[in-house]
Amino acid sequence: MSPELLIQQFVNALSIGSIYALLALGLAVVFSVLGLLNFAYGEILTITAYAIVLLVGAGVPLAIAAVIGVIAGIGMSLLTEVVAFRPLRKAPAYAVVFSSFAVSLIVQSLIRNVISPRPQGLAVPGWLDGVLTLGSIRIPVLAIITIVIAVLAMVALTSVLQGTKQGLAMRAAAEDFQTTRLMGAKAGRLILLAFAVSGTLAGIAGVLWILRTGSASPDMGFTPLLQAFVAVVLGGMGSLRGAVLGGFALAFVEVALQVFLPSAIVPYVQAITLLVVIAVLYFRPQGFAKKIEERVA
Amino acid sequence: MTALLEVDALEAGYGPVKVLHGLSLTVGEGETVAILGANGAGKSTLMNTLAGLIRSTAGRVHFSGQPIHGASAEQITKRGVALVPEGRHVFARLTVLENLRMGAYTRRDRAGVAAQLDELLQRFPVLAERRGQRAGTLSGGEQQQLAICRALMSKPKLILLDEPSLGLAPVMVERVFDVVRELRERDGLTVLLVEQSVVNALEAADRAYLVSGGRITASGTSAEMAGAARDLEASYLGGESA
Amino acid sequence: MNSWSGRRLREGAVTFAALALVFIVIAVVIETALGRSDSRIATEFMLIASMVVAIQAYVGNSGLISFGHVAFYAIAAYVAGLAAMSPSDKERITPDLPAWLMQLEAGLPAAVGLALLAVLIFAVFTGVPFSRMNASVVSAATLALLVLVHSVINLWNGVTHGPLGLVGVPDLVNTWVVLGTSLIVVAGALIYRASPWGLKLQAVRENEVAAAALGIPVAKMRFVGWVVSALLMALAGSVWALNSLAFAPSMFYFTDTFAMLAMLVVGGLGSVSGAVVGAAIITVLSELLRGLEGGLDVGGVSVPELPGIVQLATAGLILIVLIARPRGLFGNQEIGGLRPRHFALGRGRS
Repeated sequence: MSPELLIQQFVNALSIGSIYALLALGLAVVFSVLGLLNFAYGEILTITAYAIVLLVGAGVPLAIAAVIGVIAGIGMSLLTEVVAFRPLRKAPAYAVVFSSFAVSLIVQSLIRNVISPRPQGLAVPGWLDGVLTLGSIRIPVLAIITIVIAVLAMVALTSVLQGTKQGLAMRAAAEDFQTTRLMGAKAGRLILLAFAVSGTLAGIAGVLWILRTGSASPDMGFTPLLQAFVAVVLGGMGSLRGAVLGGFALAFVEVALQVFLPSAIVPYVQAITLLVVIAVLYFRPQGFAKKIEERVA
Repeated sequence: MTALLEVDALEAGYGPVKVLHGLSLTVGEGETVAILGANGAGKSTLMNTLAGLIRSTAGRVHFSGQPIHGASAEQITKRGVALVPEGRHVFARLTVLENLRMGAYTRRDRAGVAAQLDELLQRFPVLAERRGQRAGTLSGGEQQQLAICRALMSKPKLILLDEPSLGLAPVMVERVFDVVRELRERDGLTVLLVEQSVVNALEAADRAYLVSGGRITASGTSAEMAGAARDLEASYLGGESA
Repeated sequence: MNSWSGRRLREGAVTFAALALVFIVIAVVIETALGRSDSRIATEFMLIASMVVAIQAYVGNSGLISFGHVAFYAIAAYVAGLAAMSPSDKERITPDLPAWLMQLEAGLPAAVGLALLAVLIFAVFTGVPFSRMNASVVSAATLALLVLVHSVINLWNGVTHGPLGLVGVPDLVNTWVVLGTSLIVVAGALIYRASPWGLKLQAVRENEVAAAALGIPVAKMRFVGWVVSALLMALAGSVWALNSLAFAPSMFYFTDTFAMLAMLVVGGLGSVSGAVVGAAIITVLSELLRGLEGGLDVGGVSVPELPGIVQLATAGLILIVLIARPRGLFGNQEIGGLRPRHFALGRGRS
């Protein structure tokens, strides 16, 4: 395999990994504070994607549509907290698995009935399809934009978490929710904040996703949900740093399998990736997290 | 002396298991009061209920004349009651400074917070030394000091200390009780303290209550209680006495 | 500690009697009174209810949510179907099968036996890593398993006929076989629930740390639950395959997983009776609403097409049940252990 192709695939993996990392982070933020997984998480992406498709289709400039899309995504995330999580605060842990799952199906159903069961295409502006040529290396413009936006989003998140009072409270809550309440931090507000942050990250990932795939369908949220889960689990549940690492690791494994496997097996990439993940979990049930924990103790 | 805290026939527990069966006590402003009793008598349950982490099922609690039974933990902290929980519960992955900042969560006066931070770090040089370290790396005694300082950061009027000497070496225990005394003498705080170590508790406190089976079974000044220490010994499983 | 629970066995016996009665009545009604399409629905119901019971055997006793049991159903169905199909059909649609399987034209016992063996191997293989994982991780892992198996079945054209699925699976099953299968699965789940392994797993469910401290081998108990429930699932799934003339990969994915989990939630995770009752409720609801999906005319009023209404309603029902009665209709109780107060609304005690 030529060095040019290798570099191109590397960039490709970075770009896909950026999206996965954002997705994983969003899921991990809620998990770290609540200890629960949000099964309606993929629908945040779906709502963002549909918002963008519909707005651009109605003539709204892409940039504005993207912003509104992210806001819609945040709305979806907050709605999930209010409908699926809040009423079940005292119920056994598995209850929210079902309730968020139910919300996910309701959203999909509504889209099918109100908009259309068929995929909706996005008219992606021409310049986004462009390619940057460095010597004999061709790098898609979209890949660069994806990586840059994802990195900016992650940096912004880090500065919010480390630099603000609310961010500090969220990190404290992730560690010890009860004691954080003793400091006077309102539990409900913290949780809403976590869902809002989660929705922002997933919304941004949704923008990047729809630009990449160009089409929105009612059940499009499932694959991102799965990728996010896998990345979070690989990275160690609740570890934000691990989630990012997990996202990139997953992308690299996927791209590597696609590049190096004989073409007959390529359709099985998803299956093989999952097998790899299960194997990793067998040897390290805690994912990457253990190493990070050891450093702290 | 005005009663800062009035607890009246308090009942509370965990689900179907009731631990407090009608407990009443008062704490006057500026006093340091100790709660003594064997394991399982309900001391920690009392502290957690006062702090709002556990919902009481009956009875009333008044703080500064205002009812706080039924209020949430967040609201109670805002009113001026700070709990230093059993086991300290410092945020292990946050730094010492961040822990202290979390303590000041309810405050809006930035300058005041900064000033108090400096003051506490000067007063507790061990914390100043480790200000940037993760709290999980501190020793038990250091964590206890951190937990108390964190509680002080919310500028409480009443501080609840749940087993401050638990798991600490004797040298550290002494230091912790010096701090407890400082809380009254230097900070003018009212202190309600739960302690296994009868000797230390009575030395630091003005009055004490004995809790047994979720009720108050004896009370009096420290002198009176110390005199009855031998009877107290019978209440403990291998407890200490003066 | 290695003893059976007398109470649970007694409750189980009463419960079995009650459920068996229900199933027998259904079987008799099928044979005597129902038309073709209603028969089909009722027979399917018994098998689906059995599958939900199988899932309950793992989820209820361990407290761990599994999205992956439909994968066992899929494997059992495909193995039983392939075993029973005629060699000429197989040569046509699944040319890459190994010779022994290609030549095989198995009867009911052999086909089911083969399916059980295949699932046993698969369950042991996956159970080993899964039983070592903690609660949240294993739920996500079972989701991955579902996707994995579905993806392989969908892609492996030469062996499974890909998205078009198996056609021409012989009908080796009659109502009494279905009845027998349901009874075996229900009995199996009730027995497991009262057995030392079941009891220890329940202890782990209640408090993992305390159970471990008492010397209960956590991973091993989870492993046993995983395998037992997989085998029960395989039994129901293989009989289902031999009752359905054709099936495709799309039947072994999300929709069915969710439907079965919904039945479990509505009925109560901790209860075999709940699984059956939940299955009944959701089945009835689905049938009533399925009519609406194509649009219909009700006395002059035209109801428009509503695709996905069944799923929507099921999802809505789950939400309502979870908020009003999170432990489901039966909670942890079986029919054999009921007391009148268990039917109160609200956070019922279990």
